[in-house]
Order: sequence, then structure tokens, then C-alpha cells
Amino acid sequence: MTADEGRRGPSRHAMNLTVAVLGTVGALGYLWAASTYDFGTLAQPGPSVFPLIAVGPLLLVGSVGLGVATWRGRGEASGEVGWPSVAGWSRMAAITAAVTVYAWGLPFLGHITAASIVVLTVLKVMDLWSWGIRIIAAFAIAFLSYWLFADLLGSPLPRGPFGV
Amino acid sequence: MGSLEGVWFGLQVAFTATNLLAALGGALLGTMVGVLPGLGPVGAMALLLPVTLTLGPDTAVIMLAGIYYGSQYGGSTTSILVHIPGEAASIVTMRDGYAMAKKGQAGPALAIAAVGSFVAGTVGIVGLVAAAPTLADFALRLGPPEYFAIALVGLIALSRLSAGSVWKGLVILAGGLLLATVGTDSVSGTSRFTAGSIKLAGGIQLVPVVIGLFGLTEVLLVAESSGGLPHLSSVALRDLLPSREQWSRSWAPILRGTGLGFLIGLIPGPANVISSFASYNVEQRVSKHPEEFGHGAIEGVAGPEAANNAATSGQMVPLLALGIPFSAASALLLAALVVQGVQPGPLLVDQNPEVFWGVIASMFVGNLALLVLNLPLVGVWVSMLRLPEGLLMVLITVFVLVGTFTIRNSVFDLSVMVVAGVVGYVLRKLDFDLAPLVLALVIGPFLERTFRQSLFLSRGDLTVFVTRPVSAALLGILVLILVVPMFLARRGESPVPEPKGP
Repeated sequence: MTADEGRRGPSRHAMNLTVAVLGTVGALGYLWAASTYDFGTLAQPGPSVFPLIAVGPLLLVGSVGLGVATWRGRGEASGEVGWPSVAGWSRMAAITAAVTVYAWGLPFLGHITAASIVVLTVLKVMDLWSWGIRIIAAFAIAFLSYWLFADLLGSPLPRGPFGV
Repeated sequence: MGSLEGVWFGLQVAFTATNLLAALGGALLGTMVGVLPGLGPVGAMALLLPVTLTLGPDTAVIMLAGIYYGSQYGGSTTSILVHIPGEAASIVTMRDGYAMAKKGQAGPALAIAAVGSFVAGTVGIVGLVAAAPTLADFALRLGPPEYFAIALVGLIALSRLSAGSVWKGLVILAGGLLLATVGTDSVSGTSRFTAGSIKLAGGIQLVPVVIGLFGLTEVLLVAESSGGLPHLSSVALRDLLPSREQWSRSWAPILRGTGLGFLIGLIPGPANVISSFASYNVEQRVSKHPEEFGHGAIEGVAGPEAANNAATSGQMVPLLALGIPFSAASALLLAALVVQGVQPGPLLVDQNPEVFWGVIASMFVGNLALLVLNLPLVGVWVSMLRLPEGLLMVLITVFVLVGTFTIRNSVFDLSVMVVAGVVGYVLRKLDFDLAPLVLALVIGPFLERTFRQSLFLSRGDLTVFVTRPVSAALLGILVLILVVPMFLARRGESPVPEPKGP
């Protein structure tokens, strides 16, 4: 493993305020969208009732409250966020990218190829084994998982362009 | 045929060589499938149902019972070992079970979970035998207003599992309710908050969100620090079993969880989830060691696991006595029984007593098989932690991805899981407790449906919630739950212990 550098990331104060702002904007947008659906009557409440009287106001109150409490520095902004180092961010970005490739590429690449990419990435991130063994392990795990889910359990998994 | 005679008769049916093998086989298969993320009891039973079709009715039912209990336990196993809940009901077990695993106490956590599940299942079956008709009759008297009140009390009370920011709690709770409203409204058929997307019209599924928030987030947390998964270099036999102190601290939570779970199981809806959360809440409040919750309190494993299993027995009451399934899992059991030529309902015990008592006995046998099989296997499960951390990470990541996809063969679910994982990582960093989001996602649809049904039935009269005694009592409890902490806070006392959720 490489040595970790200093930790990088926004402060807790900034992050809490960001969440509060996003929550408030989201709540207002949600309430506006909900208002476009049928409210119905008290005897026959429509699809907008629950979002308008419960969900939207709850999110708005919570977000505004979080924002105000953070702004006033009342306990919400205390302590630092334990963000990772640059190396940590890189490792997470690599894994996130790999699982995203699997999520979006599965129908085109097929399970074997997509899963192999994920396994290779995780093994590299965790700094396990040499590249030769990683490649062998990647395909082995991909085939094993395919056999387990598709053949043994009968849950079909997509195949790639070459039937793999 | 009296109850005792019936039970004895049922046991004679269940304790044959073939049926015992079926029970063990079902428990083993169920556990192995339940361990896979995304495949909870319903998924496991659906996948393994064809296996039972070639068997006789009594053998098939016994095997299904084994599969059901086994898959529940399998979900708990991954919750404890690698912080990935096999199902929503395992989330609370994960809080303290995983913390115990990180301290090298995975064996005791798994053992207590197995024993607690067995005790709860057995006591629940006794309750089922003794009180099925009476309890079923009581359950039928409850209507949408009572169910709404129960769901509301559950949501508010159980979302306060850990102390901390009230505002963050509200935001996360509202977030879960918001996600629950996305999709096609079940009452009117209106597509809500879908932006015209066909994929969103089906709603945000619970399991991809749970797997993302807890599974993928955990993968990212391990990656950021290049380490952190529980790891054991060696496993001594004495480390696999709970200590005397752990046993003595577990019995009361197991019994409390059993009673609570059984009663909650009588309510239609997500009884397993609600019962496990409720049990955790109760144990946290009555514990002599409240500061340990969230950091490896054995009570946080014993109670919820017992409650989860007891709720299963509770759900069998309306299923067997009335032929009405109150959950997806019991609906699948009903389907399996019908396929085998068994029609649960009020006439079953009179017309086919051997079948009724055979089903009861099969539940006991399935439960026993789970204990007999998994207690010795605790060492095997714990040995997973001896794998190289990188390899464990790989396996977790792959199973998280494939498990999510196989729920509905949906790439959209994978996208939801990835987004939930990234968002979950950020929220965990900011000390948001994620469990209330899942609770809201589970209870939200039920809450809305019962609210609207209540107004339909009362023709718009809002007083229906306070004029019906049970509903009024529950809402009164809710007011106390909200008011008392504020009162205590003004006096400088905290009603809820301080530990933070994972």
C-alpha cells in the first residue's frame, strides 16, 4: 500500500449546509411537482395528498432546520469529516467507475467481461497479487459467479457479443 | 383432535427420515442462497420452489419451511460478517453484529442469532398453536385506521434508533418517504415523480437501495482506508461460542423480542422489518449498557433476530387460520401450499387436520434444522474472514452487483444501487443514520395506502383516527413519544442513549 497523504475534502460545516440547501431546493421542487397531480377530495384523496401534506413539508422542515442549526454552529458543524487521502479518493473513484461500467455495460459486454473488469479493478485497488494472477482470478471469479447464478440458481445473466 | 394430539400427530409426520432430510436440505439451501445479497427469504423461496414440486406435500412443506428459516439466517450471516444485509429486516442486526465481528466476536454473534431465532421460532409456534383462531379474529377487527396508526407510530418511534441531530433524522426520514412515493400510485394509477421515465414508473425498489446504502458503501469505506474489513488470523473454538456473560445478557432480549415480534407479525405489512427495529429500540432503552449499542452490544443482535423470526410465526396465524397472507413471504408459502393441494383457511384444521398439524410441525422441524445445521457451521462462516481482505472485497463486490441485477434482471436497479452506494458513503461521512431511510422506504407505501383507505372508508371524516379506540390509543402513544423527549430535553435529560449508528 502507498503511504497516505493529508486528508482532503470539504469541511463538515460546508457539507451540512450543502445538504441543507439541496434538501430545501429538492423539497420545493418536490412540492411543486406534487401540486400538479390530482389532490382529490377528503373522501377520495388523490395521489398528491401524501406528498403535499407529509413528505414535502417534512423534508422542507428538516432541511431548513439543518441549515439554520449549522449556520448558527449549534453542534451540527462540530468536528471534522474523516475524508480520505488523495490515494483513498483514487481507490474509491476506481471502484465506483468499475461498478458503473458493470451497471451500464452489462447488456453490451455480458456478465463475464463486465465482472472481470470489476474484479481486476478491485484487486488492483487492494494491491493483491501480480497482474498475471489478477487476470486469471478475474475470469475465474466471473465464470464462477455466472455458473452460480445463471446455471445453478436459474437467474439468467447477459452474455456478451461473443456469447461469453 | 385437540391441540396436543394434533401437535403430536404432526411431529410423527415430520420426524421421518425423508422429512428430516428435507428439513436439513432446505435449511442448508436456504442459508446458502440467503447469504447472497439481494436474495432474501422471498427470493430464495421463489428460486428453490421448483425443487419442492417433485416431493410429496408434507415433505415439500417441510423443505419450504427449512428454506424460509435458512434464508432468513443467511441474510443475518452476511449482515454480521461483512455489513451487507441480506434483507431489510437484517439491518438492525448488522449495526451491532458487524461491530462485534470487527472485535473478533463474529462467532458469538452468529451463535446468538441462531439460538435466538430458534427460541423465538419455537415459542412463536407454541403461540400459533395455542392462540391462532383467537388472534386471527382479533387481527381481522383491525382496519386501515389502526394499521395507519401502527405504521405511523412505528415510523416515528423506530426512526429514532440513535440519538443525534433531530434535523438530520427528519431529512433522512423524509428522503426515504420521498423515494417511496416515486412510481405509479397503487390507488389511482398515476405516475408520480417519474419525469416520464418508464423505468421510474415501477418505483424505486427497496433491495437495490439497501444493498447500495450498506453493501457498496461498505466497499467504498474499505477502499478509502485500504482496509477495515473484519479479519481473523486464527479462529479458536472458544472464540466461536458466546461467553457466559453474553448468554446471560441475551436471554431476556430473546424473550422480549419473541413476544414483540409475534404480536407485530399479526399485522399485515412489513412485520419482519418493523419487529426487528422495534426490538432494537426496546433493548436500547431497557439495557444496562445503552452506551454499547451501535458498538457491539449482544442485545442488539439477540432481540432483533428473535423478533424477526417470531414475526414469521405471527404471520402464519392469519395464513393458516384464515388463508390470508399478510406478507410477500407468507403469500409465497400460500402459493406453495396450494400447489401441493393444501388450501389454508378456517376449514383446514377441521377437514384436513393432518395437513394443518403437519405444517405446524414442519415449522418446528425447519427451525430445529436451522439450529442443528448452522450452529456447527458458525466456524465455517467465520472462516470467511480469514480470506485475504482483497479477495473478500472482490467477492463482496461481485455478489453485490450480481445479486442486485438478479432481483428483476434490471440494469436500472444496478444504477440505483450504485447511486445509493455513493450517496450512502457521503451520508455516512456526515453522520447520517441510514436505517431510518430504509424504514421509511419500507413503511411509506403502507402508511400512505392505509391513510387513504381510512379516508375512503370514513368518507373523508378525519376523526376516524381518534374515534376508533385502538387507533386513538396508538396516536396517543405517538404524542407521548414526541412530547416526552422534548420535556426531558428542557430538563437536561436525554431519553435516548448517545451512541451513533454505523
